Amino acid sequence: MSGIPAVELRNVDFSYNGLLVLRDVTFSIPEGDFAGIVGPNGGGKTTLLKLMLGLLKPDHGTVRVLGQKPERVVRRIGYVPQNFQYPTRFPMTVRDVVLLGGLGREGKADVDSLLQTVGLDGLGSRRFDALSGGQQQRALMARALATSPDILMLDEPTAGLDAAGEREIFNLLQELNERITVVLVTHDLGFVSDAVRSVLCVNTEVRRHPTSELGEITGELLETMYGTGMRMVRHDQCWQRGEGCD
Amino acid sequence: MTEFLQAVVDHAFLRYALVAGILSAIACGVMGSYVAARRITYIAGGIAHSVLAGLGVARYLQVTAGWEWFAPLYGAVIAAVVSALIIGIVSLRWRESEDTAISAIWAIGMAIGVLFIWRTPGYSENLMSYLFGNILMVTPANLWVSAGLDAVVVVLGLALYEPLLAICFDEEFARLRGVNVDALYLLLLCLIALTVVLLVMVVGLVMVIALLTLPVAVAGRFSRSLWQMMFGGAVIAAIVTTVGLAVSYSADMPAGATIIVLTGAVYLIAAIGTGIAARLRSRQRTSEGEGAAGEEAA
Repeated sequence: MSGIPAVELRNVDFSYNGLLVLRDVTFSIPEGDFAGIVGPNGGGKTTLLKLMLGLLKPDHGTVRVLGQKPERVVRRIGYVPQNFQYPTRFPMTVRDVVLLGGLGREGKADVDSLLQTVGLDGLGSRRFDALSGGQQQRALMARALATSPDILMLDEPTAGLDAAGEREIFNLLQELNERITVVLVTHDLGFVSDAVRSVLCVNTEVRRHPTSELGEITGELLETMYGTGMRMVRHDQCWQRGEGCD
Repeated sequence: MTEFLQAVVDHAFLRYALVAGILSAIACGVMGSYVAARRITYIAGGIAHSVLAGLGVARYLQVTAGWEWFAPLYGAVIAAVVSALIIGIVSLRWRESEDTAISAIWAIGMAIGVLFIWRTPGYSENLMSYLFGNILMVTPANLWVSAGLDAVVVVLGLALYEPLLAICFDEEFARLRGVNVDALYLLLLCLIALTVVLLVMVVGLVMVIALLTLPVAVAGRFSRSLWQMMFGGAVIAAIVTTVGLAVSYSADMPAGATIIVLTGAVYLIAAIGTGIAARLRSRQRTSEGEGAAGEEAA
Protein backbone atom coordinates (compact mmCIF):
# COMPACT_ATOMS: atom_id res chain seq x y z
CA MET A 1 0.00 0.00 0.00
CA SER A 2 1.46 3.35 -1.05
CA GLY A 3 -0.74 5.52 1.17
CA ILE A 4 -1.75 7.61 -1.83
CA PRO A 5 -5.54 7.66 -2.21
CA ALA A 6 -6.84 5.68 -5.17
CA VAL A 7 -9.12 8.61 -6.02
CA GLU A 8 -9.18 12.11 -4.61
CA LEU A 9 -11.47 14.98 -5.58
CA ARG A 10 -11.11 18.44 -4.10
CA ASN A 11 -13.70 21.22 -4.45
CA VAL A 12 -14.91 19.91 -7.80
CA ASP A 13 -17.74 21.68 -9.61
CA PHE A 14 -19.11 20.39 -12.87
CA SER A 15 -21.92 21.67 -15.07
CA TYR A 16 -23.52 20.64 -18.38
CA ASN A 17 -24.65 23.57 -20.52
CA GLY A 18 -24.75 25.85 -17.50
CA LEU A 19 -26.69 23.36 -15.34
CA LEU A 20 -24.77 22.52 -12.18
CA VAL A 21 -24.51 18.75 -11.86
CA LEU A 22 -21.89 18.46 -9.11
CA ARG A 23 -21.15 21.13 -6.51
CA ASP A 24 -18.07 21.49 -4.33
CA VAL A 25 -17.33 17.78 -4.29
CA THR A 26 -14.52 16.73 -1.99
CA PHE A 27 -13.77 13.14 -1.01
CA SER A 28 -11.12 10.50 -1.29
CA ILE A 29 -11.26 6.75 -1.83
CA PRO A 30 -8.41 4.87 -0.16
CA GLU A 31 -6.37 2.28 -2.01
CA GLY A 32 -7.96 -1.19 -1.83
CA ASP A 33 -11.43 0.18 -1.07
CA PHE A 34 -14.61 -1.18 -2.56
CA ALA A 35 -16.70 1.95 -3.06
CA GLY A 36 -20.29 2.10 -4.24
CA ILE A 37 -21.64 5.28 -5.83
CA VAL A 38 -25.39 5.63 -5.35
CA GLY A 39 -27.97 8.33 -5.87
CA PRO A 40 -31.07 9.28 -7.83
CA ASN A 41 -31.19 9.40 -11.62
CA GLY A 42 -29.68 12.63 -12.85
CA GLY A 43 -27.90 13.06 -9.53
CA GLY A 44 -24.47 13.01 -11.16
CA LYS A 45 -23.27 9.42 -10.55
CA THR A 46 -22.05 8.73 -14.09
CA THR A 47 -20.67 12.27 -14.35
CA LEU A 48 -18.67 11.66 -11.19
CA LEU A 49 -17.28 8.42 -12.64
CA LYS A 50 -16.37 10.12 -15.92
CA LEU A 51 -14.55 12.86 -14.02
CA MET A 52 -12.53 10.16 -12.25
CA LEU A 53 -11.78 8.56 -15.62
CA GLY A 54 -10.65 11.87 -17.12
CA LEU A 55 -13.35 11.69 -19.80
CA LEU A 56 -14.80 14.94 -18.42
CA LYS A 57 -12.94 17.95 -17.05
CA PRO A 58 -14.19 19.76 -13.94
CA ASP A 59 -15.17 23.44 -14.11
CA HIS A 60 -13.30 23.98 -10.87
CA GLY A 61 -11.30 21.83 -8.49
CA THR A 62 -8.91 18.95 -8.91
CA VAL A 63 -9.32 15.27 -9.66
CA ARG A 64 -6.48 12.90 -8.87
CA VAL A 65 -6.33 9.19 -9.47
CA LEU A 66 -3.40 7.34 -7.89
CA GLY A 67 -1.98 10.76 -7.11
CA GLN A 68 -1.98 11.97 -10.71
CA LYS A 69 -4.29 13.50 -13.30
CA PRO A 70 -6.59 10.72 -14.60
CA GLU A 71 -5.36 11.04 -18.20
CA ARG A 72 -1.82 10.24 -17.04
CA VAL A 73 -2.81 6.95 -15.48
CA VAL A 74 -5.42 5.71 -17.97
CA ARG A 75 -3.67 2.37 -18.33
CA ARG A 76 -3.83 1.83 -14.58
CA ILE A 77 -7.62 2.27 -14.67
CA GLY A 78 -9.96 -0.45 -15.88
CA TYR A 79 -13.39 0.71 -17.00
CA VAL A 80 -16.63 -1.13 -17.66
CA PRO A 81 -19.23 1.16 -19.25
CA GLN A 82 -22.96 1.41 -18.60
CA ASN A 83 -25.46 -0.27 -20.98
CA PHE A 84 -22.79 -0.92 -23.54
CA GLN A 85 -24.43 -0.59 -26.94
CA TYR A 86 -22.31 -2.18 -29.61
CA PRO A 87 -23.37 -2.23 -33.25
CA THR A 88 -25.60 -5.22 -33.86
CA ARG A 89 -24.13 -7.89 -36.12
CA PHE A 90 -20.66 -6.50 -35.36
CA PRO A 91 -18.47 -9.49 -36.18
CA MET A 92 -16.08 -9.64 -33.28
CA THR A 93 -14.90 -12.52 -31.13
CA VAL A 94 -14.67 -12.34 -27.36
CA ARG A 95 -10.88 -12.60 -27.78
CA ASP A 96 -10.88 -9.50 -30.04
CA VAL A 97 -12.89 -7.56 -27.46
CA VAL A 98 -10.48 -8.46 -24.66
CA LEU A 99 -7.44 -7.66 -26.81
CA LEU A 100 -8.77 -4.13 -27.36
CA GLY A 101 -8.30 -3.61 -23.63
CA GLY A 102 -4.55 -3.69 -24.10
CA LEU A 103 -4.61 -1.32 -27.06
CA GLY A 104 -1.46 0.75 -27.36
CA ARG A 105 0.41 -1.40 -24.87
CA GLU A 106 3.42 -3.40 -25.94
CA GLY A 107 2.76 -7.13 -26.06
CA LYS A 108 -0.60 -8.83 -26.19
CA ALA A 109 -2.71 -9.41 -23.13
CA ASP A 110 -2.99 -12.99 -21.88
CA VAL A 111 -6.56 -13.39 -23.08
CA ASP A 112 -7.00 -16.98 -21.88
CA SER A 113 -5.95 -16.07 -18.36
CA LEU A 114 -8.22 -12.99 -18.33
CA LEU A 115 -11.17 -15.02 -19.57
CA GLN A 116 -10.48 -17.58 -16.87
CA THR A 117 -10.47 -14.81 -14.26
CA VAL A 118 -13.95 -13.68 -15.29
CA GLY A 119 -15.30 -17.21 -15.74
CA LEU A 120 -15.43 -17.31 -19.52
CA ASP A 121 -12.83 -20.01 -20.13
CA GLY A 122 -13.01 -21.50 -23.61
CA LEU A 123 -15.32 -18.81 -25.01
CA GLY A 124 -12.59 -16.72 -26.64
CA SER A 125 -13.47 -17.70 -30.18
CA ARG A 126 -17.21 -17.16 -29.76
CA ARG A 127 -18.80 -14.08 -31.32
CA PHE A 128 -19.35 -11.36 -28.72
CA ASP A 129 -22.97 -10.85 -29.81
CA ALA A 130 -23.66 -14.56 -29.24
CA LEU A 131 -22.99 -14.19 -25.48
CA SER A 132 -25.70 -13.64 -22.89
CA GLY A 133 -25.95 -10.22 -21.20
CA GLY A 134 -24.06 -11.44 -18.12
CA GLN A 135 -21.35 -13.05 -20.21
CA GLN A 136 -20.94 -9.85 -22.23
CA GLN A 137 -20.48 -7.89 -19.00
CA ARG A 138 -17.83 -10.35 -17.89
CA ALA A 139 -16.09 -10.10 -21.28
CA LEU A 140 -16.03 -6.31 -20.84
CA MET A 141 -14.57 -6.81 -17.37
CA ALA A 142 -11.84 -8.98 -18.91
CA ARG A 143 -11.19 -6.16 -21.38
CA ALA A 144 -10.97 -3.69 -18.49
CA LEU A 145 -8.47 -5.95 -16.73
CA ALA A 146 -6.23 -6.33 -19.79
CA THR A 147 -3.75 -3.71 -18.59
CA SER A 148 -3.61 -5.15 -15.06
CA PRO A 149 -5.17 -1.98 -13.61
CA ASP A 150 -4.87 -0.77 -10.02
CA ILE A 151 -8.45 0.51 -10.03
CA LEU A 152 -11.53 -0.95 -11.66
CA MET A 153 -14.39 1.50 -12.31
CA LEU A 154 -17.78 0.15 -13.32
CA ASP A 155 -20.95 1.97 -14.31
CA GLU A 156 -24.06 -0.06 -13.52
CA PRO A 157 -22.43 -3.38 -14.44
CA THR A 158 -25.53 -5.38 -13.51
CA ALA A 159 -28.12 -3.29 -15.37
CA GLY A 160 -30.42 -5.62 -17.29
CA LEU A 161 -29.14 -8.80 -15.63
CA ASP A 162 -31.27 -11.26 -13.67
CA ALA A 163 -30.62 -11.90 -9.97
CA ALA A 164 -28.29 -14.84 -10.66
CA GLY A 165 -26.30 -12.77 -13.17
CA GLU A 166 -26.03 -9.91 -10.67
CA ARG A 167 -24.78 -12.23 -7.95
CA GLU A 168 -22.12 -13.69 -10.27
CA ILE A 169 -20.85 -10.23 -11.17
CA PHE A 170 -20.78 -9.12 -7.54
CA ASN A 171 -18.93 -12.26 -6.43
CA LEU A 172 -16.39 -11.63 -9.15
CA LEU A 173 -15.97 -8.01 -8.04
CA GLN A 174 -15.41 -9.08 -4.47
CA GLU A 175 -12.70 -11.49 -5.64
CA LEU A 176 -11.06 -8.76 -7.70
CA ASN A 177 -11.21 -6.38 -4.74
CA GLU A 178 -8.72 -8.63 -2.94
CA ARG A 179 -6.15 -7.29 -5.43
CA ILE A 180 -7.41 -3.92 -6.69
CA THR A 181 -9.56 -0.95 -5.76
CA VAL A 182 -13.11 -1.20 -7.09
CA VAL A 183 -15.39 1.81 -7.67
CA LEU A 184 -18.91 0.95 -8.73
CA VAL A 185 -21.92 3.02 -9.77
CA THR A 186 -24.99 1.00 -8.92
CA HIS A 187 -28.70 1.10 -8.31
CA ASP A 188 -28.51 -2.16 -6.41
CA LEU A 189 -28.80 -0.81 -2.88
CA GLY A 190 -28.98 -4.32 -1.43
CA PHE A 191 -25.53 -5.01 -2.75
CA VAL A 192 -24.26 -1.68 -1.49
CA SER A 193 -24.89 -2.59 2.14
CA ASP A 194 -24.05 -6.25 1.56
CA ALA A 195 -20.70 -5.99 -0.15
CA VAL A 196 -19.10 -2.56 -0.54
CA ARG A 197 -16.95 -0.97 2.11
CA SER A 198 -17.84 2.65 1.53
CA VAL A 199 -20.71 4.48 -0.08
CA LEU A 200 -20.62 7.72 -2.04
CA CYS A 201 -24.05 9.31 -2.01
CA VAL A 202 -24.42 11.59 -5.02
CA ASN A 203 -27.10 14.16 -5.56
CA THR A 204 -25.26 17.21 -6.87
CA GLU A 205 -23.30 17.06 -3.62
CA VAL A 206 -21.33 13.99 -2.60
CA ARG A 207 -20.98 12.38 0.84
CA ARG A 208 -18.84 9.37 1.60
CA HIS A 209 -19.61 6.86 4.38
CA PRO A 210 -17.94 3.64 5.42
CA THR A 211 -20.77 1.07 5.25
CA SER A 212 -19.89 -0.03 8.77
CA GLU A 213 -21.28 3.31 9.97
CA LEU A 214 -24.60 2.89 8.26
CA GLY A 215 -25.98 0.63 10.97
CA GLU A 216 -25.51 3.39 13.51
CA ILE A 217 -26.94 6.15 11.41
CA THR A 218 -30.58 6.95 11.89
CA GLY A 219 -32.85 8.33 9.20
CA GLU A 220 -33.09 11.60 11.13
CA LEU A 221 -29.32 11.94 11.30
CA LEU A 222 -28.95 11.28 7.59
CA GLU A 223 -31.60 13.85 6.86
CA THR A 224 -29.72 16.32 9.02
CA MET A 225 -26.47 15.49 7.19
CA TYR A 226 -27.92 15.73 3.70
CA GLY A 227 -30.32 18.56 4.31
CA THR A 228 -34.02 18.62 3.69
CA GLY A 229 -35.37 16.57 0.81
CA MET A 230 -32.58 13.99 1.12
CA ARG A 231 -34.52 11.44 3.13
CA MET A 232 -32.83 8.05 3.58
CA VAL A 233 -34.33 4.95 5.14
CA ARG A 234 -32.42 1.88 6.18
CA HIS A 235 -33.97 -1.58 5.67
CA ASP A 236 -32.74 -5.05 6.68
CA GLN A 237 -30.04 -5.53 4.08
CA CYS A 238 -30.27 -2.33 2.13
CA TRP A 239 -30.95 1.32 2.50
CA GLN A 240 -32.95 3.47 0.22
CA ARG A 241 -33.47 7.08 -0.52
CA GLY A 242 -36.89 8.60 -0.31
CA GLU A 243 -38.92 10.08 -3.11
CA GLY A 244 -37.27 10.33 -6.47
CA CYS A 245 -34.81 7.59 -5.65
CA ASP A 246 -34.85 4.36 -7.64
CA MET B 1 -20.16 -15.80 -70.32
CA THR B 2 -17.87 -17.18 -73.05
CA GLU B 3 -18.92 -14.30 -75.26
CA PHE B 4 -18.01 -11.87 -72.47
CA LEU B 5 -14.62 -13.49 -71.86
CA GLN B 6 -13.85 -13.29 -75.56
CA ALA B 7 -14.90 -9.63 -75.55
CA VAL B 8 -12.55 -8.97 -72.59
CA VAL B 9 -9.71 -10.41 -74.64
CA ASP B 10 -10.69 -8.35 -77.68
CA HIS B 11 -11.60 -4.97 -76.11
CA ALA B 12 -9.33 -2.91 -73.90
CA PHE B 13 -12.25 -0.87 -72.46
CA LEU B 14 -13.70 -4.07 -70.94
CA ARG B 15 -10.37 -4.96 -69.40
CA TYR B 16 -10.16 -1.47 -67.87
CA ALA B 17 -13.70 -1.87 -66.57
CA LEU B 18 -12.86 -5.22 -64.98
CA VAL B 19 -9.76 -3.83 -63.29
CA ALA B 20 -11.69 -0.75 -62.09
CA GLY B 21 -14.38 -3.03 -60.65
CA ILE B 22 -11.88 -5.19 -58.79
CA LEU B 23 -9.95 -2.18 -57.46
CA SER B 24 -13.15 -0.63 -56.13
CA ALA B 25 -14.26 -3.99 -54.68
CA ILE B 26 -11.11 -4.23 -52.53
CA ALA B 27 -11.64 -0.73 -51.10
CA CYS B 28 -15.32 -1.50 -50.74
CA GLY B 29 -14.62 -4.57 -48.58
CA VAL B 30 -12.19 -2.76 -46.27
CA MET B 31 -13.98 0.56 -45.85
CA GLY B 32 -17.51 -0.83 -46.17
CA SER B 33 -16.79 -2.95 -43.08
CA TYR B 34 -15.87 0.14 -41.08
CA VAL B 35 -18.99 1.93 -42.37
CA ALA B 36 -21.18 -1.01 -41.25
CA ALA B 37 -19.38 -1.40 -37.93
CA ARG B 38 -19.54 2.27 -37.06
CA ARG B 39 -23.08 2.57 -38.49
CA ILE B 40 -22.31 5.64 -40.59
CA THR B 41 -24.04 4.65 -43.82
CA TYR B 42 -25.94 7.94 -43.85
CA ILE B 43 -22.66 9.87 -43.67
CA ALA B 44 -21.28 7.84 -46.59
CA GLY B 45 -24.49 8.64 -48.51
CA GLY B 46 -24.05 12.35 -47.87
CA ILE B 47 -20.43 12.26 -49.02
CA ALA B 48 -21.38 10.26 -52.13
CA HIS B 49 -24.00 12.77 -53.26
CA SER B 50 -21.79 15.78 -52.52
CA VAL B 51 -19.29 14.37 -55.01
CA LEU B 52 -21.49 15.71 -57.83
CA ALA B 53 -20.41 19.25 -56.89
CA GLY B 54 -16.75 18.35 -57.47
CA LEU B 55 -17.52 16.52 -60.68
CA GLY B 56 -19.62 19.40 -62.01
CA VAL B 57 -17.18 22.17 -61.07
CA ALA B 58 -14.19 20.27 -62.49
CA ARG B 59 -16.00 19.58 -65.77
CA TYR B 60 -17.09 23.22 -65.99
CA LEU B 61 -13.51 24.46 -65.46
CA GLN B 62 -12.21 21.96 -68.00
CA VAL B 63 -14.55 23.29 -70.66
CA THR B 64 -14.75 27.00 -69.83
CA ALA B 65 -11.34 27.77 -68.31
CA GLY B 66 -9.35 25.34 -70.40
CA TRP B 67 -8.13 23.43 -67.33
CA GLU B 68 -7.76 20.19 -69.25
CA TRP B 69 -5.68 18.65 -66.46
CA PHE B 70 -8.48 19.16 -63.92
CA ALA B 71 -10.35 15.93 -64.60
CA PRO B 72 -13.75 15.46 -62.94
CA LEU B 73 -12.21 12.65 -60.91
CA TYR B 74 -9.93 15.15 -59.15
CA GLY B 75 -12.91 17.40 -58.46
CA ALA B 76 -14.71 14.39 -57.01
CA VAL B 77 -11.79 13.62 -54.67
CA ILE B 78 -11.67 17.22 -53.42
CA ALA B 79 -15.44 17.46 -52.92
CA ALA B 80 -15.60 14.10 -51.14
CA VAL B 81 -12.76 14.89 -48.74
CA VAL B 82 -14.05 18.41 -47.97
CA SER B 83 -17.55 17.02 -47.31
CA ALA B 84 -16.13 14.27 -45.11
CA LEU B 85 -14.19 16.80 -43.03
CA ILE B 86 -17.19 19.13 -42.65
CA ILE B 87 -19.49 16.29 -41.58
CA GLY B 88 -16.79 14.87 -39.31
CA ILE B 89 -16.09 18.15 -37.53
CA VAL B 90 -19.81 18.87 -37.06
CA SER B 91 -20.32 15.33 -35.79
CA LEU B 92 -17.49 15.65 -33.26
CA ARG B 93 -18.29 19.18 -32.07
CA TRP B 94 -22.04 19.46 -32.40
CA ARG B 95 -23.33 15.88 -32.53
CA GLU B 96 -26.95 17.02 -32.29
CA SER B 97 -26.54 18.88 -35.60
CA GLU B 98 -24.97 15.93 -37.42
CA ASP B 99 -28.15 14.94 -39.29
CA THR B 100 -28.71 18.48 -40.48
CA ALA B 101 -25.12 18.78 -41.68
CA ILE B 102 -25.31 15.51 -43.60
CA SER B 103 -28.61 16.46 -45.22
CA ALA B 104 -27.25 19.88 -46.17
CA ILE B 105 -24.05 18.46 -47.65
CA TRP B 106 -26.09 15.81 -49.50
CA ALA B 107 -28.54 18.24 -51.11
CA ILE B 108 -26.31 21.29 -51.61
CA GLY B 109 -23.56 19.15 -53.13
CA MET B 110 -25.98 17.77 -55.68
CA ALA B 111 -27.47 21.19 -56.40
CA ILE B 112 -24.04 22.74 -57.02
CA GLY B 113 -23.17 19.85 -59.31
CA VAL B 114 -26.37 20.16 -61.33
CA LEU B 115 -25.92 23.95 -61.69
CA PHE B 116 -22.35 23.65 -62.95
CA ILE B 117 -23.20 20.83 -65.33
CA TRP B 118 -26.13 22.91 -66.60
CA ARG B 119 -23.83 25.89 -67.18
CA THR B 120 -21.17 23.80 -68.92
CA PRO B 121 -21.34 24.48 -72.66
CA GLY B 122 -22.00 21.52 -74.92
CA TYR B 123 -23.78 18.24 -74.44
CA SER B 124 -24.04 17.30 -70.76
CA GLU B 125 -23.83 13.56 -71.25
CA ASN B 126 -21.69 13.22 -68.13
CA LEU B 127 -24.54 13.89 -65.72
CA MET B 128 -26.10 10.47 -66.22
CA SER B 129 -22.76 8.68 -66.00
CA TYR B 130 -21.97 10.53 -62.74
CA LEU B 131 -25.35 9.68 -61.27
CA PHE B 132 -25.58 6.06 -62.40
CA GLY B 133 -21.96 5.24 -63.28
CA ASN B 134 -20.38 4.16 -66.49
CA ILE B 135 -17.66 1.70 -65.80
CA LEU B 136 -17.19 1.15 -69.55
CA MET B 137 -15.90 4.73 -69.91
CA VAL B 138 -12.94 4.15 -67.55
CA THR B 139 -9.66 5.27 -69.14
CA PRO B 140 -6.12 4.11 -68.37
CA ALA B 141 -5.52 7.48 -66.70
CA ASN B 142 -8.59 6.89 -64.50
CA LEU B 143 -7.23 3.47 -63.63
CA TRP B 144 -3.93 4.88 -62.41
CA VAL B 145 -5.74 7.38 -60.19
CA SER B 146 -8.02 4.58 -58.97
CA ALA B 147 -5.04 2.36 -58.19
CA GLY B 148 -3.46 5.21 -56.21
CA LEU B 149 -6.66 5.87 -54.26
CA ASP B 150 -7.12 2.16 -53.67
CA ALA B 151 -3.59 1.81 -52.33
CA VAL B 152 -4.06 4.71 -49.90
CA VAL B 153 -7.42 3.42 -48.68
CA VAL B 154 -6.41 -0.22 -48.30
CA VAL B 155 -2.96 0.38 -46.80
CA LEU B 156 -4.22 2.91 -44.22
CA GLY B 157 -7.42 0.95 -43.57
CA LEU B 158 -5.44 -2.18 -42.75
CA ALA B 159 -2.47 -0.51 -41.05
CA LEU B 160 -4.81 1.26 -38.62
CA TYR B 161 -6.99 -1.81 -38.17
CA GLU B 162 -6.73 -2.05 -34.39
CA PRO B 163 -7.40 1.59 -33.45
CA LEU B 164 -10.13 1.88 -36.10
CA LEU B 165 -11.71 -1.29 -34.76
CA ALA B 166 -11.52 0.22 -31.27
CA ILE B 167 -13.34 3.43 -32.24
CA CYS B 168 -15.98 1.50 -34.18
CA PHE B 169 -16.62 -0.89 -31.30
CA ASP B 170 -16.43 1.47 -28.32
CA GLU B 171 -15.29 5.05 -28.90
CA GLU B 172 -15.25 5.97 -25.22
CA PHE B 173 -13.06 3.05 -24.25
CA ALA B 174 -10.71 3.78 -27.16
CA ARG B 175 -10.35 7.33 -25.82
CA LEU B 176 -9.47 5.91 -22.40
CA ARG B 177 -6.75 3.82 -23.98
CA GLY B 178 -5.12 6.94 -25.37
CA VAL B 179 -6.38 6.64 -28.95
CA ASN B 180 -6.77 10.03 -30.66
CA VAL B 181 -10.39 9.29 -31.47
CA ASP B 182 -11.21 12.62 -33.14
CA ALA B 183 -8.26 12.57 -35.55
CA LEU B 184 -8.82 8.91 -36.35
CA TYR B 185 -12.52 9.47 -36.99
CA LEU B 186 -11.77 12.30 -39.42
CA LEU B 187 -9.21 10.10 -41.16
CA LEU B 188 -11.76 7.28 -41.36
CA LEU B 189 -14.27 9.63 -43.02
CA CYS B 190 -11.62 10.80 -45.50
CA LEU B 191 -10.81 7.19 -46.40
CA ILE B 192 -14.53 6.51 -46.85
CA ALA B 193 -14.67 9.60 -49.09
CA LEU B 194 -11.90 8.21 -51.31
CA THR B 195 -13.68 4.85 -51.47
CA VAL B 196 -16.88 6.61 -52.48
CA VAL B 197 -15.02 8.25 -55.39
CA LEU B 198 -13.76 4.84 -56.50
CA LEU B 199 -17.28 3.43 -56.38
CA VAL B 200 -18.84 6.42 -58.16
CA MET B 201 -16.90 5.42 -61.26
CA VAL B 202 -18.41 1.93 -61.12
CA VAL B 203 -22.02 2.40 -60.09
CA GLY B 204 -22.52 6.17 -59.95
CA LEU B 205 -23.12 8.28 -56.89
CA VAL B 206 -26.80 7.39 -56.51
CA MET B 207 -26.03 3.71 -55.98
CA VAL B 208 -22.73 3.92 -54.10
CA ILE B 209 -24.34 3.12 -50.76
CA ALA B 210 -25.60 -0.25 -51.99
CA LEU B 211 -22.15 -1.40 -53.09
CA LEU B 212 -20.52 0.01 -49.96
CA THR B 213 -22.86 -1.73 -47.54
CA LEU B 214 -24.50 -4.83 -49.05
CA PRO B 215 -21.45 -7.00 -49.85
CA VAL B 216 -20.05 -6.48 -46.34
CA ALA B 217 -23.49 -7.06 -44.83
CA VAL B 218 -23.56 -10.46 -46.56
CA ALA B 219 -20.00 -11.20 -45.45
CA GLY B 220 -20.82 -10.11 -41.88
CA ARG B 221 -23.34 -12.93 -41.60
CA PHE B 222 -20.58 -15.49 -42.04
CA SER B 223 -17.71 -13.70 -40.25
CA ARG B 224 -16.34 -13.93 -36.75
CA SER B 225 -14.16 -10.87 -36.98
CA LEU B 226 -13.98 -7.56 -38.82
CA TRP B 227 -11.03 -8.61 -40.98
CA GLN B 228 -13.01 -11.66 -42.18
CA MET B 229 -15.86 -9.30 -43.00
CA MET B 230 -13.44 -7.12 -44.99
CA PHE B 231 -12.06 -10.05 -46.93
CA GLY B 232 -15.48 -11.59 -47.56
CA GLY B 233 -16.96 -8.20 -48.51
CA ALA B 234 -14.17 -7.55 -51.03
CA VAL B 235 -14.58 -11.01 -52.60
CA ILE B 236 -18.37 -10.65 -52.86
CA ALA B 237 -18.06 -7.12 -54.28
CA ALA B 238 -15.52 -8.33 -56.85
CA ILE B 239 -17.79 -11.21 -57.88
CA VAL B 240 -20.96 -9.09 -58.23
CA THR B 241 -19.04 -6.39 -60.10
CA THR B 242 -17.54 -8.88 -62.55
CA VAL B 243 -20.71 -10.90 -63.03
CA GLY B 244 -22.78 -7.70 -63.27
CA LEU B 245 -20.44 -6.39 -65.93
CA ALA B 246 -20.73 -9.65 -67.88
CA VAL B 247 -24.53 -9.71 -67.62
CA SER B 248 -24.87 -6.07 -68.61
CA TYR B 249 -22.54 -6.59 -71.58
CA SER B 250 -24.39 -9.68 -72.78
CA ALA B 251 -27.89 -8.26 -72.27
CA ASP B 252 -26.96 -4.72 -73.35
CA MET B 253 -28.04 -3.16 -70.05
CA PRO B 254 -26.51 -0.36 -67.94
CA ALA B 255 -23.58 -1.85 -65.98
CA GLY B 256 -24.05 0.15 -62.75
CA ALA B 257 -27.71 -0.71 -62.34
CA THR B 258 -27.10 -4.38 -63.22
CA ILE B 259 -24.33 -4.63 -60.61
CA ILE B 260 -26.57 -3.11 -57.93
CA VAL B 261 -29.55 -5.37 -58.72
CA LEU B 262 -27.24 -8.36 -58.54
CA THR B 263 -25.80 -7.12 -55.23
CA GLY B 264 -29.31 -6.69 -53.86
CA ALA B 265 -30.24 -10.21 -54.97
CA VAL B 266 -27.17 -11.69 -53.26
CA TYR B 267 -28.04 -9.82 -50.05
CA LEU B 268 -31.65 -11.02 -50.14
CA ILE B 269 -30.65 -14.63 -50.73
CA ALA B 270 -28.08 -14.46 -47.89
CA ALA B 271 -30.58 -12.82 -45.51
CA ILE B 272 -33.34 -15.33 -46.26
CA GLY B 273 -30.93 -18.30 -46.28
CA THR B 274 -29.29 -17.43 -42.95
CA GLY B 275 -32.71 -16.65 -41.44
CA ILE B 276 -34.05 -20.09 -42.42
CA ALA B 277 -30.84 -21.78 -41.23
CA ALA B 278 -31.06 -20.01 -37.85
CA ARG B 279 -34.70 -21.08 -37.46
CA LEU B 280 -33.87 -24.69 -38.32
CA ARG B 281 -31.00 -24.71 -35.81
CA SER B 282 -33.25 -23.27 -33.12
CA ARG B 283 -35.97 -25.87 -33.86
CA GLN B 284 -33.36 -28.64 -33.73
CA ARG B 285 -32.06 -27.42 -30.38
CA THR B 286 -35.60 -27.28 -29.00
CA SER B 287 -36.40 -30.83 -30.12
CA GLU B 288 -33.07 -32.09 -28.72
CA GLY B 289 -33.89 -30.40 -25.39
CA GLU B 290 -37.35 -31.94 -25.33
CA GLY B 291 -35.85 -35.35 -26.18
CA ALA B 292 -33.35 -35.09 -23.34
CA ALA B 293 -36.08 -34.00 -20.91
CA GLY B 294 -38.26 -36.95 -22.02
CA GLU B 295 -35.40 -39.40 -21.45
CA GLU B 296 -34.77 -37.95 -17.98
CA ALA B 297 -38.44 -38.25 -17.10
CA ALA B 298 -38.46 -41.87 -18.31
